[in-house]
Amino acid sequence: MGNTIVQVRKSKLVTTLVKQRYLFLMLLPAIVLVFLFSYIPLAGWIIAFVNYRPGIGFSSLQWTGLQQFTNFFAKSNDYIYLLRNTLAMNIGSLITNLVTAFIFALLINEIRVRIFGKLIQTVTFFPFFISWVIIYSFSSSLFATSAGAINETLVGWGIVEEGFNFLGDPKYAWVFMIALGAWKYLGYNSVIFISSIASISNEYYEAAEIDGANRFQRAWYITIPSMIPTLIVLLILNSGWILNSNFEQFYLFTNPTNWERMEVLDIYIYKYGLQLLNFPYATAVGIMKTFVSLILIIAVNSISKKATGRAIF
Amino acid sequence: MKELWKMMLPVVVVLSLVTLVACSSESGSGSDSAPSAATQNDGQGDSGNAGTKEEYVIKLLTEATMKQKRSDETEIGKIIKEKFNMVFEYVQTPGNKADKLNLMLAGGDYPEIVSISDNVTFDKYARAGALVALDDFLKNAPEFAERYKEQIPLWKLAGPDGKLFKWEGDVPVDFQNNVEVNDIGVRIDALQQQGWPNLVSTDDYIQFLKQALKDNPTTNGQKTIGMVVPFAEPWGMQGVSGAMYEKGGRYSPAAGNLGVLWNDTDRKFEDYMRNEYVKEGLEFFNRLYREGILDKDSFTDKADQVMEKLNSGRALSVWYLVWGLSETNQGLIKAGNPEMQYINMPIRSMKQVERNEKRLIRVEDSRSHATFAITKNAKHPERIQELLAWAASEEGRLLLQSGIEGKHYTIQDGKRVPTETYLSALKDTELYQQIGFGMFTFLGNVLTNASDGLPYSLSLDPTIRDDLSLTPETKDAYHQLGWANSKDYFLKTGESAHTGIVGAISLDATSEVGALQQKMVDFRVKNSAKLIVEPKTDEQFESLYQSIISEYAKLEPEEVVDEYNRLYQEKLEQVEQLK
Repeated sequence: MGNTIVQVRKSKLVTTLVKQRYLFLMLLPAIVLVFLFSYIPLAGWIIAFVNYRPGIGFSSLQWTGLQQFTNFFAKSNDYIYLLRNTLAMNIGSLITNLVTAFIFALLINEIRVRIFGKLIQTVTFFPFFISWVIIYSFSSSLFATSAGAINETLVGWGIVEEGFNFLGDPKYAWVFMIALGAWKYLGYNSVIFISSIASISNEYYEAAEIDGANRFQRAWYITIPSMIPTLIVLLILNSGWILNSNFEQFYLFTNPTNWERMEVLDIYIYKYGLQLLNFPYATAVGIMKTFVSLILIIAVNSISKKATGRAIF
Repeated sequence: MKELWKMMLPVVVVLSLVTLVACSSESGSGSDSAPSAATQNDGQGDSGNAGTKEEYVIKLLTEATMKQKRSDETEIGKIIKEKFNMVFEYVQTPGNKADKLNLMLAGGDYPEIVSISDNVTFDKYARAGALVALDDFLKNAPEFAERYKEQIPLWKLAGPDGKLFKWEGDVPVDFQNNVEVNDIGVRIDALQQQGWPNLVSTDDYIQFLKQALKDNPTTNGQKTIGMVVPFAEPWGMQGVSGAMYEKGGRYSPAAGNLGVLWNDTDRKFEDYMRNEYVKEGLEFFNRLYREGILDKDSFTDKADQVMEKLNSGRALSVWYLVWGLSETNQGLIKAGNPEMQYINMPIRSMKQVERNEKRLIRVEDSRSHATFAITKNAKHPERIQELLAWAASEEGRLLLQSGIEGKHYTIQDGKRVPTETYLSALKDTELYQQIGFGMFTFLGNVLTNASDGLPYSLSLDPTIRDDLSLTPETKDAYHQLGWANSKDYFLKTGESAHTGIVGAISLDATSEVGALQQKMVDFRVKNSAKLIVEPKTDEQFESLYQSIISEYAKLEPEEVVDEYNRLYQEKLEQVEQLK
């Protein structure tokens, strides 16, 4: 009886594979790429557990166990400010980016002149294509304390005596990075919300109009609730990346005066792993980051399932 | 037919994707390790007869800006090509050099000739087996062995197992040819306005710059800046913020910018962060910051941005970055602001002035900052070695550093005399590079004298150096200050201090003590900025300094200092055996 059930299941699987063979074949390259570039490199985690040096074979390396993890957590306090900075800026960016994109999509949807709306959407998309190197140059030209255009103007007009040190003062670090990120990704993030608005059936709006709802009420009772599922999905997906920072952005903007509030985990891993060639230490920090991210995404998914009934898995 | 097409489509898609991925990984990798095409030489023959060998093109990574992309576009490069049929392609690589070197090592993607700027990175390359040993080459290159006979034992010491893996540029050095003092570049009109004060102490500079800012609130319509420093450079905060220690006696900059300093008087290494002169230097910067003299953008400015401020004459002074002032001054003359040129002036801390000890002016016996090596990726290392051997000969040195006889110098009474072309090239970077000067430093420039008693690089001749490199305005400035020449004050108040084996000592970066040194450097860099920016009074500075030092002590930096001193003793014995 048991064998029969297994056989039935196997034949069902084979039938599905054959029937949907084209779909699976089209999926195959993506699976292969993910396997090659995301799963196979996990074997490199062994570096965190040995005294790895470039150019020397693995067989002659000494096993060090959890020493690198101990070094990070027990022998230094670096993880305190690193986790604080990383979480503060990433959570801030996540919330700011999603909320601004949400509101922007809502507002774009209300524009009656379609061409104008499309133009606004296109223009806000441009910053997404500008590299962080260019953005840093702009920022330096605009916000440098003594030579920046904004500060020179403010000082020249007598509004302030001395320019604001946006690039160097740690108290501006978080807000500055979040604001720059919001400006850069606004157009890109809003595309997803705009498409979710586009998928709302017109019948709801017509019915609401018949019932006497004004534009604000239609937006509040129809558009926003319809966008919430998209918001939750994006929130869950991005929560897994909460410890990942945009390396380019922080590499350029971190300097000796603002490091206390600007240095994030990825820059720390780069510094110790690639600048100082301490691969084991950097790999250990990276592993820690991965596990925490995994726990976070599972937790957020569960919370969302319990609270709203919606989840990804 | 439709069914057949439906079946074939997914297969075509899969094959296309696989081909795309495979082709992207082969092309456009921008690998600088592979030589260009047309290097099919069988590697036979040991003479410099270019006719028997195919053209060998080697890519060289460079941070310098140059018009020429290949060495055979220069006059000197054409001669090298005729003799050896070797051409060098210059690949500009902006950005952090140390980072790039580490990335290249990690990826095994390093060029055929690698240029390294410190012993730690050299040590990593050597230990990873990336470099070609030159011991056999040495046996067959007597002129190379003779020219660098003092350096070779030190170069062997720097390697992990006593083998020779590298050579260096700008060594050996004759002290009279290279008085290496990088203090403060000061605008000469500001000096003139205050009656040519002889600035020495930190207090002198603070008073001077405060007054100069009052006298010159704006420069060409922009707010004048008191002092600029490129702290954002990788060597900025780490290397120059604490550089006050080298301006007085006792300490020489032989040990580099890591965790320790070299006490030349007591012949031992000491901790960098806790040095009294380093503390005074940070105090000086803090006072400059509090007085609004130090440019607040210094912490985000790289060398390019600092040079821009100097080129516009907007800065009254610059800390340490004085080697580019000749070019800056030429630019200011062309811009119609000759009065805003800069001269290099001395500085000492208050304690250094009080003690009045002779400043120790470094004479490098080895210069890890200009390390070169042949890597395992070199297709024809024997040809590179052949060129290297020739470059160390008298003929090679004269061509590479003095140029072509009859064109760049003539011989009068047995001595080389620079021609007008040579003199023009000193003031014109494009002409200088077109001839090929400065384009072959990887073959080992020397700062010693040729057989005629004059430096190989004629511009270093002390008797004519100022005439060659200074403008009339800057010459007059030194004269107004009462100096006989641009090095007069430094030579009178300093003495040469050879680095010996000190420059060849480094820690294994992957060892525990090496990792500890990295933490010490990181700590120093981060907290130096804090000490410059945060304190609002002298008392606050002192209090913050003490709390930072107690935090620093928890790292147990004595381990690193002790290890350096142990290595020093060990290498003192080793170097005798290697001679």
